[in-house]
Amino acid sequence: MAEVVEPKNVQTEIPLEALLVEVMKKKEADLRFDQAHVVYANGKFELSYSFSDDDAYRFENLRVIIDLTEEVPSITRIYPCAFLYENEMRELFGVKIEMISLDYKDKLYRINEVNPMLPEAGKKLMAEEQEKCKADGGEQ
Amino acid sequence: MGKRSVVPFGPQHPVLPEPIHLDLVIEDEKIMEAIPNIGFIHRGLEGLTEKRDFKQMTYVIERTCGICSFGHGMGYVETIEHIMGVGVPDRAKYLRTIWHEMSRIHSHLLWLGLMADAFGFESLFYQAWRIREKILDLLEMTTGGRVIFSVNKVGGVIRDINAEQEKEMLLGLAKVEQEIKEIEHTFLNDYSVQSRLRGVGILTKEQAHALGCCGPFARASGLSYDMRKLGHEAYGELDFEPIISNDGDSYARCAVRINELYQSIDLIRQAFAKMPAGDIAVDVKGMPNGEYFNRVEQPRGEAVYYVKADGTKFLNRFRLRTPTFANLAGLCEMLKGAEYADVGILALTIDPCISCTER
Repeated sequence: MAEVVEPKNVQTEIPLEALLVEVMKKKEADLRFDQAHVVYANGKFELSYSFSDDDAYRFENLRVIIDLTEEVPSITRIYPCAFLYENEMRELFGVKIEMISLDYKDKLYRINEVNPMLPEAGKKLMAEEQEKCKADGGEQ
Repeated sequence: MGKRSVVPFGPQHPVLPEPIHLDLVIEDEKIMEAIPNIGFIHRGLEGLTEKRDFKQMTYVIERTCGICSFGHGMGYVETIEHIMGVGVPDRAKYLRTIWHEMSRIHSHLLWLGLMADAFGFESLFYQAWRIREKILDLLEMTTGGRVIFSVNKVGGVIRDINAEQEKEMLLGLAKVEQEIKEIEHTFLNDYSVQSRLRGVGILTKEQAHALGCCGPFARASGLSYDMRKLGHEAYGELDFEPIISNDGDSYARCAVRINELYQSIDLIRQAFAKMPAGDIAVDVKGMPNGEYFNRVEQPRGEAVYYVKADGTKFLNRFRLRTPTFANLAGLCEMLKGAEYADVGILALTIDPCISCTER
């Protein structure tokens, strides 16, 4: 009889400032970078960074919730293979990920429409937040 | 240091029938760097969650790929079933396991044929695809489809396998097993095959792990994870161990896939022997509300399914991370130092599916 390894999905919500530190901890724990994606929900972006401990078949997920115009540091300095995931998040949703090691400049999928997977409500909110930042003298 | 040039490879190439483009930085016929470019066929299937309800999405998601269509449908309905707390009947779990393994045999035989064609062994290509036809016939007999089966639904499956079909499948698999043994010798021992694959495109275990590789590509480098060990569907009741090799070269990838063919046949036999009688589906009422990550071992490797639902019939988000998406970084690393003439074969050794990648 094969040993049954139960899936354990572990999710930890962290602030944006702690992202690189927490990702570094996963790297130091020798976890495999599994995937990253973004969800638009309640006027915010929910970023998920997933890692696997393949000896224990354990799945761990870091969740970062940010405003639509907040800048996110790239994790490609820690996990170089994250470049496709980060380019995808930026092109399809408009997440402002900075310093991706291999940057496709929003042309990974060669789609003409800007941020095609961000709902209209999200696009409107993003525009409003950008206007507000400009009015406050922020750099957007 | 020789002169460096950038040579484009793909998206249309005789060896690689997948629309991927590589910018190859070469120096004296040696690859120094490879930069992948995709985006030629992006379909936005994930975005269809806005227009199709969660049950209809099963049939959209199946169409992510023409090879592992069954697995995509299964991975998606498993995710929804987990969120909704649906208990799938045991017989349905076994049926899903059997069809999933049939898909793996179909996929690996397709890959072996393409690989043989890539290194110029056309008769071997014909043989691999001839055997594959028998698997497609068995799939058609039991599901009604050869590419898209549409037998999965939230709560179970919509078709059963009767005793007569079971007998025919087991007989058919015995013949297929015999025929695989006949071509296995050539794939693993022929001089010309070995000269093209042995020691070519080496990816070490450490590199494969660091680059997030998965599936037979990673197992050929000594990484032993196989998501079937999570025990979903009937896999927890079946006896198997992941097949690995420590060589990390193109030959090892070929050997791992050939051995996985036998493993899949064995798993199907075990599943038929243990499959209980009973219902094949339960009624599902209500709407999903919650989120879940699900991992399924597709023929090409681990696929990650994520669903976030808010209690309406339309999902808030569906996300599918396909094995090829994870393996592209490994491909680029493996190409460094390779000869330009080997690029086509090396790209093929990850069993790329750009259709999946550009879901």
